[in-house]
Amino acid sequence: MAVKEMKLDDRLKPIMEHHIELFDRAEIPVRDQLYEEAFAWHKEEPTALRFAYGLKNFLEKKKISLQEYDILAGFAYRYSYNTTMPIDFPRDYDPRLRPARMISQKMEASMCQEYYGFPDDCTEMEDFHFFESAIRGGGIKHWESGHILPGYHNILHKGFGGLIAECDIALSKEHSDQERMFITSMKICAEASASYILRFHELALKLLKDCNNPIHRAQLHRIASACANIAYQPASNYFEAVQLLWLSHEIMYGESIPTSTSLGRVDQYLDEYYCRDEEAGLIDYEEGSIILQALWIKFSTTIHAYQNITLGGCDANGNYQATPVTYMALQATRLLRNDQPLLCLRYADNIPQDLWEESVALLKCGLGFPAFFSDANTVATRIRAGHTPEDAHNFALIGCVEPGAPGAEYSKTEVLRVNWAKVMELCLAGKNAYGSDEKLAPYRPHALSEFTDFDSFYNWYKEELLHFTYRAMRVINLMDKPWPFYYPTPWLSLTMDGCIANGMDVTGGGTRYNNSGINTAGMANAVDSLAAIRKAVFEDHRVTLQELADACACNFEGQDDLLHYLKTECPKFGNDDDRTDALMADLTAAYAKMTDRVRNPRGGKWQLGLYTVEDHAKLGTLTGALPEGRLAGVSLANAMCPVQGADHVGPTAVINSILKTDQSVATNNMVLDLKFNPAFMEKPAHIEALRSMIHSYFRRGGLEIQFNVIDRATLVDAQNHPEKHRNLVVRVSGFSAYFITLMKTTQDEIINRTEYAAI
Amino acid sequence: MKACISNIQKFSVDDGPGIRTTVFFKGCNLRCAWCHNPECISPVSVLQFTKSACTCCGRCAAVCPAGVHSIGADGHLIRREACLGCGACEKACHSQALKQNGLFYSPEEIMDIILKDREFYIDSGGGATFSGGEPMLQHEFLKQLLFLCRDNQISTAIDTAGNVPYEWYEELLSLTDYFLYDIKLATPALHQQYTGVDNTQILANIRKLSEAGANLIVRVPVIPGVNDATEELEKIANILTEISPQLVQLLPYHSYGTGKYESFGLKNPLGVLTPPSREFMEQALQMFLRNGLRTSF
Repeated sequence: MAVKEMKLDDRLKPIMEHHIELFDRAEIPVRDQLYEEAFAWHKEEPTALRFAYGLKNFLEKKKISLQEYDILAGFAYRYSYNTTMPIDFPRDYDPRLRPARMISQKMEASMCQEYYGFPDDCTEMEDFHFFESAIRGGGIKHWESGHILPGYHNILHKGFGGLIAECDIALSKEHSDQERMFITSMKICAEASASYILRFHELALKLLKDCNNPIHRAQLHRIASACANIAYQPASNYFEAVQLLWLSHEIMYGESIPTSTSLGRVDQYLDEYYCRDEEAGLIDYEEGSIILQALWIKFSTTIHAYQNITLGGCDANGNYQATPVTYMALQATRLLRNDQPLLCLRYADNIPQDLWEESVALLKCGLGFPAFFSDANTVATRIRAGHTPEDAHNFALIGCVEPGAPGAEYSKTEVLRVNWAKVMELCLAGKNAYGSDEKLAPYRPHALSEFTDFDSFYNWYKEELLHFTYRAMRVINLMDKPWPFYYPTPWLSLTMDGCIANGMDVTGGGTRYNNSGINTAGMANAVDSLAAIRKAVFEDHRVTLQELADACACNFEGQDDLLHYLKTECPKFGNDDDRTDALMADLTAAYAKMTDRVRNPRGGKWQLGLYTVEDHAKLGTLTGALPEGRLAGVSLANAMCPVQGADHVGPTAVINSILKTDQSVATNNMVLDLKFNPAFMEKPAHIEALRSMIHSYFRRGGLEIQFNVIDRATLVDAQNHPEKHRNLVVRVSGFSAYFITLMKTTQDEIINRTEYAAI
Repeated sequence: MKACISNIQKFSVDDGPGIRTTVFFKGCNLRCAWCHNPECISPVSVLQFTKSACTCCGRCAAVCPAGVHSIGADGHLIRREACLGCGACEKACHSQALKQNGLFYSPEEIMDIILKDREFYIDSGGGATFSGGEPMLQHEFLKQLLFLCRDNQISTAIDTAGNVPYEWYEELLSLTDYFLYDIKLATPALHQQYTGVDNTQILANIRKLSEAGANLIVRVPVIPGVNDATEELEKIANILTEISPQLVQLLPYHSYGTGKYESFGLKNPLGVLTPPSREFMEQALQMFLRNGLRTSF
């Protein structure tokens, strides 16, 4: 029953001690500088080639990191990416600071105008103005780049030399000039990568000259020899595989902003190397673990990165695939306690018992890892999104939760998010009423007095939501075609199935699956607001719709009684109450019906995501007060979870509420986040209950569930703002729990129990 | 037929096997000094007032038909004896400082609520638990509810202190899957002192239930300075060895309920105690195990 007790090996201590200070702010503008230098030498070349030369120049000259005590070579510095993305940040912009707006709609619009030859005053350009306004006004979130599962396993299996050979073979075949150009850009990236790896080989040899510590010498030798081999060859052992994986990931960050560049099924593709080495007596579990922990420390140096690793899962015959690396991965995170990499567990009922126990041991650490994904239900959504069964069974998760085919999919999973709550505001106010000066309006304006029953208002809101969304989807679709000619990613394309053979950049549809992501925000806010409108206006006749809209417009100032009524007497989503749950089900089904029908120019579908990343907070700052009783600027609900503090019946009610919505439409996944206090996790009976809950939820169609074993800061907040934390699970035997009446000393006791030992 | 219910709690994982819904009945015929559900002692609705949440806005005083609330120099004062239990103040309060504890439900209404989590019971081996207070004080009502559970294939558990006529249990035997039975003290004088009642009937009942083949899960609250002396716990263990319960659960004292006393206008007889240490509970566990009892805490 006991899981492995984790202890930090001495060899990792110096790495842990110094890994933060290696970050060098002076490196931030270096990438753009070196790209621009290369651009100047290749002025007339097509974009993909210029970018490839840019990467080449960058990899030749950039600072590289290898310390004497390192187990793995490399370090992910932070850079700005003005030269290769439609963004416009200051040259010394520090990626640690997340700006309010990321992508420049002006640059995107001018790209389309140039590519298509649109005049200034056409429908498409009008749509672009709407798009820009909607983003600035908080109705939409738009992001390009990242959110990808690069074909890292292809690099491990083929080596950069193998990929170069593939490029040469492709170039020897019949291809258009454009295709040759793309293939050449990929070849340049492959060659540059090989040379880059050799730089580490040389640096390792240099460090060896002055190194006297025998342990460090052995490690540097291993690095030197591995880097010599993996510059061109496939990985031939576990250490080489891990080293090549890390350096590939580092190169990926040279090309693209590090948002959710995910690692895929690391426990599956590293396993073949580990097992071969282990059988040959070349490595043991301890050494394999230490190497993986060194890799984990490398991941932890990148912030805001959402580097997702997927563990476990069933094959097509239903056999659960747990490998030694699966356990090493859970243990590494339990030891190191960093927020990167993210760990996702593909859950099935036949998960090995000891793997379940490792997962629980990690859960208790309070990091929220692993997140649990229903293996069978996610496979089904992949097939619905257009995957073959083979690819469907091989799914991995991108950070946060979007499923993808590693090395074979470019589905722009974060390209669009629509704020359902903002559309509600537009309907009630007739315009954008809060947060910015942006001009937004309903598509078919109506005076609120026209609505004499709830259904007519509801149907209007639904139409506005669908129209708003579809308009944004059209703009994204417009950008698909020009994108590979303005912002291609030749290095990423190199690693993806099909791009070389097809002679097309991955952004232009070169790989196997090419969907687009449409995600939501403000779902529970919209639903609770609709339920409030139905009750307050059309059932209790307490206010007219116009009066309610006016109260929202002035942020409920002077309307305490109305606000109180809306907050306490109108039903809220998440309490197993059909009055709200049916609305969520109907609205989501109607939304999915529309998004399911739309196609993109790359031959793909649109996949629907019911999760919000951090956008519930960001978009909330731009959304005004709403009939649910939410004040202006407050965070929206997380994913499709209940509004914070609105659920007060407990986790079973939250799950029941969510499951009344058909989850099979969430082809870009969803998030269910449940909070538990650390004391709860201590009893075996409670863990069994959690497992039953996961099983029940997945059996009935659930896709994802994550357990927020809450940290000290949240508990302190709960102490000061109990009304925000009525959903906190504090359960003891025979006790009817009212958190609000816990004495401060009791609360302090619970809070003090959450001090976790950190390395 | 209606019963006064304090709370219906979903996702109860400490009140019998699996995931359960626990129905807390109002009214109790013991007065345990450490009680963590003091609001359940009274059989009728009681007003809960959380002073720390109160902003002294006076909305409650304005709507109260019985003059219970007054806001003045001494803050918010409450005359509980005048309260009619109408709940108007709860509705009027904007700070969630007032709550009427104790609502009336029919068996069918309770059943509707229990049925909502049916899928979870199926997946976890759970069901419904009837607790409180002492649910057996409303045994006729409880019987109706148990019949409904049986009709709906919902597993049932009764959380009881055992101090009612055995005939009342007898009528429910075939309808009850588990008895969660409290054994708080063995020494009769101590039992009288700390719970207000003699334990003769309590011990006789558990023996009869055991002989009748009932599934017994015995709960022993471990209260510092009350029953945590080694002798007393040993006496309890000895009693239980004759009975052979399915499981003995040692429940370490916790202070989560102490805040409730003030909010219900009650006096906490014991004050706030320090919970027993983990080491102490381990030792107690070992002692029970040595007596051949399947035990957990």
